[in-house]
Amino acid sequence: MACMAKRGLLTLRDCENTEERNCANCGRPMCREHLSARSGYTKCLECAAADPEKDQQYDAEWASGYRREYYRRSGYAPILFGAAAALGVAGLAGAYWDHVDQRAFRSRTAGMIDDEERPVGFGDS
Amino acid sequence: MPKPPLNSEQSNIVREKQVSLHQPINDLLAILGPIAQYDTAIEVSRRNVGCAAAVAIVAGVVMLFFVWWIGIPLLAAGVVLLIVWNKKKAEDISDNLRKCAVPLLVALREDFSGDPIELKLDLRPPMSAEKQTSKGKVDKVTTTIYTDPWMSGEGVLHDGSRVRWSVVETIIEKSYWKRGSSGKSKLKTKRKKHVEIEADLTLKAKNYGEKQTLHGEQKVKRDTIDPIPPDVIINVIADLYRQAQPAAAS
Repeated sequence: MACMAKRGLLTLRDCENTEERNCANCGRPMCREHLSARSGYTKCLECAAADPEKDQQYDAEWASGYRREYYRRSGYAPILFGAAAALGVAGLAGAYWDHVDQRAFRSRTAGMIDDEERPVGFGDS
Repeated sequence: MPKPPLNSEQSNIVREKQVSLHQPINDLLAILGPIAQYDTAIEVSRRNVGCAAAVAIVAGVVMLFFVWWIGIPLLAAGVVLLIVWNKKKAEDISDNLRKCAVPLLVALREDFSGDPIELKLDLRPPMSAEKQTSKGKVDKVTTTIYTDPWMSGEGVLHDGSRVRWSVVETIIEKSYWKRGSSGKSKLKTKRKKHVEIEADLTLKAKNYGEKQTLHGEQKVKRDTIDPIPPDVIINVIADLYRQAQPAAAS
């Protein structure tokens, strides 16, 4: 299974690394890069960043906590790339990012109407 | 906090207090991160030395009246510590590095692509003589203005967009002598800071329909001369992204 962490702050994209283990706190599958070394690679960076005993060091854990706080403070909705974009906001809600209103890329097919779903009306005889 | 060892490039940056780098984000952080830690360690050590110098001088002066042979060595130790304190002051670099630039780069690390980023930092103290642009006296009030264009950068982001940003700070210091009711004169000083942030975001046609450059700027007034938080710069770039309309996915 692929790591469920997202990369970036201004725009978000999938991590795409393979899972190493599930976070002991939130249960999401994470790769080694997105597990916190400080927690002995048991918690994901975001859960570890929420630890009040975390020292003020500017590392990946800090960046993860900063991103979450930045979205909360500013109400910024990042643009989403990759496979997760196809899930849309609703899909992401189940994938942890329920508090953030990402702007997923619109699907080209979204604007098309399938023949079977085309409204039926009276036509010329 | 122990001082991290610095290589020759990092030592040169601390000495010259100027950064002009063209490196990928991870390499930039590998260079600037230890310098920020070094600056923190220097500040802690300088504060400790300063306190020790003050204690030694005060204790030395008091002791001179009672046990002079203890007072004189204490005074001598105080003077030596003062010299060390002053020497450490020369190593001091602008707090803008560790409180704004490094957190900004760490926060945006995953947004930048692997391409080199052009980064220029002026880490001389914001109120150094070199940054003083004017000084005048009107009605007993002396106004000194310092202009500090301390950061500019340009890099390609992961979505193919190119971002350029610059930060210019203007510090306004007003000082005047005020005579109190006891007849003593005191120098009163007020400092304010105006920060001007500009950013350009060139969106990639592949991801945003058409190639276009968005421009944003923000002026911030602050009653303190402390470094601005990275939020202020990120806000300007994020506002440009708010205007961007993603293209339809294929």
